[in-house]
Amino acid sequence: MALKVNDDLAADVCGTFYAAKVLGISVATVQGLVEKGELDAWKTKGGHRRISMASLRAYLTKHGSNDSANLLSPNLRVLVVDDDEVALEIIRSSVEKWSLPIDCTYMTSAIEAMLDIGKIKPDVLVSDLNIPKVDGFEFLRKLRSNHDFSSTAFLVITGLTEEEIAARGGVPEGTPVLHKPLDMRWIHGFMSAMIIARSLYRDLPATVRDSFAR
Amino acid sequence: MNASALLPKQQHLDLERFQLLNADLSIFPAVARVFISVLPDWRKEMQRAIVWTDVQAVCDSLHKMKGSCSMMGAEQLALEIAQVEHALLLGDLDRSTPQLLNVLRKIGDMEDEVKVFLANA
Repeated sequence: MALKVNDDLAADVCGTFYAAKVLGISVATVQGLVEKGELDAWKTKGGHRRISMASLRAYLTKHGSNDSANLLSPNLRVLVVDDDEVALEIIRSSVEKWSLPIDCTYMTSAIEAMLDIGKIKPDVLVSDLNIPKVDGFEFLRKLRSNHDFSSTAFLVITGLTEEEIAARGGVPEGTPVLHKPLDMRWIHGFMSAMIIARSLYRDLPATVRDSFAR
Repeated sequence: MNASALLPKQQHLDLERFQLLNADLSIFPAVARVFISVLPDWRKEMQRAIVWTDVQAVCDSLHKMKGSCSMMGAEQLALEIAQVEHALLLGDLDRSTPQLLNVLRKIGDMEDEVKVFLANA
């Protein structure tokens, strides 16, 4: 299965369900577009249809839809919020070296992040807890309770101890907490896993994906 | 890159630790330049907090520097900063002043080390 995901990532393709979701049409209509040659597609040996992401982008451009363009990026969207510029530079330099399909945005304040997070729609939010002007704990709790970010994975990076975190009310349940100094090899593994998970999610039928969102 | 050749006298920086955490020492020069560039503003922030005897602001500044130092591979210094941070939160600024001045001096020493590294890199 992992091989299929890697192949899909490398080939920049998606399944019929994901194409339907992005275009906002039914699976049958996507199949119709494929038959008419408006979308480039082919079938795997197992009989599953694979649609070229490039042709999906071209179709969206031609028909003037910008709303779904974000979903089309094959890259993992990551937002990193930390007022420690040294930490940000280490993450930035590492991400560049990894050559993983990641679109990373870096911000030094939670206020800035709150203004733009709706547009970025990150798959992964990496955030410090001690950030100026906004309580990082509150920032995470607010986002976690917001339906728009129900599928965003959180990763906390902090110089606080477990006791200090607990004393301030803790982080949302299930959020991994990484203490500074950060082990960038761990973050590399986390991001790789997220890329694979996102790719698998993309290929799920819309009804199943919706059940995750609820 | 040979870390020990670039940094003959290491008091605070541990480039081997940095390499272990980041699996890549080649990113260190860029990180070192950022560290040097943020120090002046950090010092102003710290100075202002001390003048106003704003203990929370001193702690916030120390906390930020603790993170930077640990990420740079100066974990012993990060530990000493953490001790001052905790002492300040428990007591008052006056009683912790000698410890605070000591870590500020060490941060200055680390700055010199980073500059030596950059000059040789």
